[in-house]
Amino acid sequence: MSESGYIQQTSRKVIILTLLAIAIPIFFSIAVSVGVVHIDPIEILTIIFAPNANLNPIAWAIIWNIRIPRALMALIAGATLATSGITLQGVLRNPLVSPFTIGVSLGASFGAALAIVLGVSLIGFGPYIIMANAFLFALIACLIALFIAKIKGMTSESVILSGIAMTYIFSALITLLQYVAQEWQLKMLVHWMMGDLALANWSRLYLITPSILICIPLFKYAWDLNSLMMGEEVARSLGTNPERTRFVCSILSALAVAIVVCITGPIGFIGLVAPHIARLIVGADYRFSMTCSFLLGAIILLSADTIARVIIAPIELPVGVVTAFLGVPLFVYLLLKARREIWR
Amino acid sequence: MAVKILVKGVSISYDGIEALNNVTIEFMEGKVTSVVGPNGAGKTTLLRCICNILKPKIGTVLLDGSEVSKLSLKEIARKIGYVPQIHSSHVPLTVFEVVLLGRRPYVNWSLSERDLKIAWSSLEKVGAKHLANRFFDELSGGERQKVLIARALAQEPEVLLLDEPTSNLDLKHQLEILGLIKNLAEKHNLTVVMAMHDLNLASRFSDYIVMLKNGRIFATGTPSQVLTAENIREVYGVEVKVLDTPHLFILPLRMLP
Repeated sequence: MSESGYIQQTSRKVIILTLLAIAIPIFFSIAVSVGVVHIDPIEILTIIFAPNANLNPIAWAIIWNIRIPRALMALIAGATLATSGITLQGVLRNPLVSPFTIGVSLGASFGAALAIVLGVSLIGFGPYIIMANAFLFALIACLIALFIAKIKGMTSESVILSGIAMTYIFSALITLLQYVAQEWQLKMLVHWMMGDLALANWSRLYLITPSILICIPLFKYAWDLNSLMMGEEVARSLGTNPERTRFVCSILSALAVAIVVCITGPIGFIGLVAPHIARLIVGADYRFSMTCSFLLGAIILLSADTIARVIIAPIELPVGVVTAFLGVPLFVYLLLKARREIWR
Repeated sequence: MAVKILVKGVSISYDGIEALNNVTIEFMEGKVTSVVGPNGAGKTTLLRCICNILKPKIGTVLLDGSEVSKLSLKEIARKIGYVPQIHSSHVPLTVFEVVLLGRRPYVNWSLSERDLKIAWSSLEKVGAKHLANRFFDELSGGERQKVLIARALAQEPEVLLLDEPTSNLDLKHQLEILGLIKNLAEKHNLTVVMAMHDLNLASRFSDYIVMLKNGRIFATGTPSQVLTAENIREVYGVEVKVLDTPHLFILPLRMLP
C-alpha cells in the first residue's frame, strides 16, 4: 500500500460526483415531462428539439414558458443555496449555519413585507417592487451583520451572532407589519415567506442566473476551507488568511442567496441539509463536498418542486414542505448509517 | 554554521500587555533550539512572530536575511512549518488527508502525483505510514502529534516551529517525538525551534536553549550554559539541583517564596 488508498477513495468520490451530474439531465427531463396537463412524451420531444414545428401551441407554451424555466430555476436556486450553505458552514465552522444565518432571509422577507403591506419600495417598479425591495433589504441585513462582525475581527462567533441579531430585529419588524396588514396582504406575505418557484418565467430566470455565477468563485476557497478545519493557527501557517477568507466567502454567499431569495422567497432546509448529505457521502474535503453539495442542492430542489407540482395536482404544495419531507429521511438515514460523525 | 532566523529587536503587546520586549536572537541552521520559560514568558508569542502569524509592532524577523513580513502567506508557508499546541478539537479527515493539507501552499485545486509522494514520504519520516487511512480523530495523542509533524513536513519547510510538542504525551512518546525531531534536524538540515516546559527533555534534545522571562531574553547558549541552578531560580522562582550525570538532570526541590 502507499498513496493508492487515497487514490482509490478519490476515484470513488469522482464516480459519485459524475453520477450526480448525470442525474441532473434525467431529473430535468422528468420535471419537464410531468405536470397537471398531460403531454405526450413524443410531443414533448418534438416541442423541445424542433420548436419551430407548428404543433399544439398550448403544449408548446407549457413546455417552453412554464416547465423549462421553472426546472432551470429550481436547479439554479438549489445549487446556489446548497453551495452557499456549505461555504458558510465551512468558514464559520459551525454545522447549524445555513445560508440564512447572516440575516439574508429575514431581511428579504421584511423588504417583501414592506412592499406588500405598505406598498413602499425604495427601488424597482411595477411587478418587480416586491423582488427589488426584498433584494435591497436582504443586502442591508447581511451587510449590517458583516459590518458588525468586521469590527469584532471577523471571528466566526461574531458573524453568527450578528447574523442572529439581524434575524431577530427583522423578524420583529415583520411581526409589526403583519399586525397592521390586511387579511389579503397577510396571506400574500405568508405565501411569499414560504418560498416557491411557481412564478418562474424566463425574465425571472435571467434575474436569478447571476446567483449561480457568484457561487463559482467560492470553489477557489476549497483549500482554505480545508485548512480551516485544523484551526485558525494551522490555517494561517498553511498560507490561508482566515479573516479574509471568511469575509470574501460570507459576502459572496450572502449576495448569491439574496438574489435567490428575492425571486423565490426563502426556501429553507436545502442550504442546511444538502451540505451535510454531501459530507456524509464524499467526506469532508471541500473540493469534493462543495461540488457534491452544489449538485445535490440542484437535484433535491428540482425533484422536490416536481413532486410539489404533481402529488396532489392540480393543487401545488409549498416546495419547502416537500424538500423537508424528501430530504429529512435521506439525511437521517445517512446520519444513522454514517461510520463516524463529521461534526461533534 | 549559518544563522537561519534572526529576530531583531522585536516587541509585541496584546491589549497593552507586553508579551515580547525588545527580543533579539539568532537561530542556527540545522540545529534544534528550545525556548524555555515560565507560563506567560512569551514562548508561544515568539513562535507566532517567527512565522508571521503575529506581526511585531517594532522590530523584524529575518529568514535567510530577508524580512518574513514582506513575504506572502504562501511563501512563508513553503519555508516555515508550524505545529501549534492547540488544535481544532475535531478534524473530520483521514490521516493522509491531514498530511496533504501540508501541500496547500503549493496547489490550487488538484494534487499532483508529486504532492501525494511528498505527503507519503512525510508520513514515512515520522513512522506513521500504517495510520494513513485511519481517521485523525481516532488516533492517540502520540500518533496525532506525529501526524501533525508530518503535515508540517509536507510543506517541505526549512524551518519547523513546534509549540510544546510533548505536552500531553506519555514518557515513551515524549522520547519518541523528540528523538524524531532531533533526527529530522540532523538528517534534513531542518532548523527547529520549539517551546518547551520540561527542562530535562529540553536539555537532552536541544543544541541550544533560549530562556525567556517576562518577554525578555534572560539567557541563551548550550543547555549546560543556560540551565544552571542560578538561572532557573531567577526565572522560575524554584530551587533546583542540577546534576551532571552524563546528561544534565534538573531536580526541582522547592518553590521560593
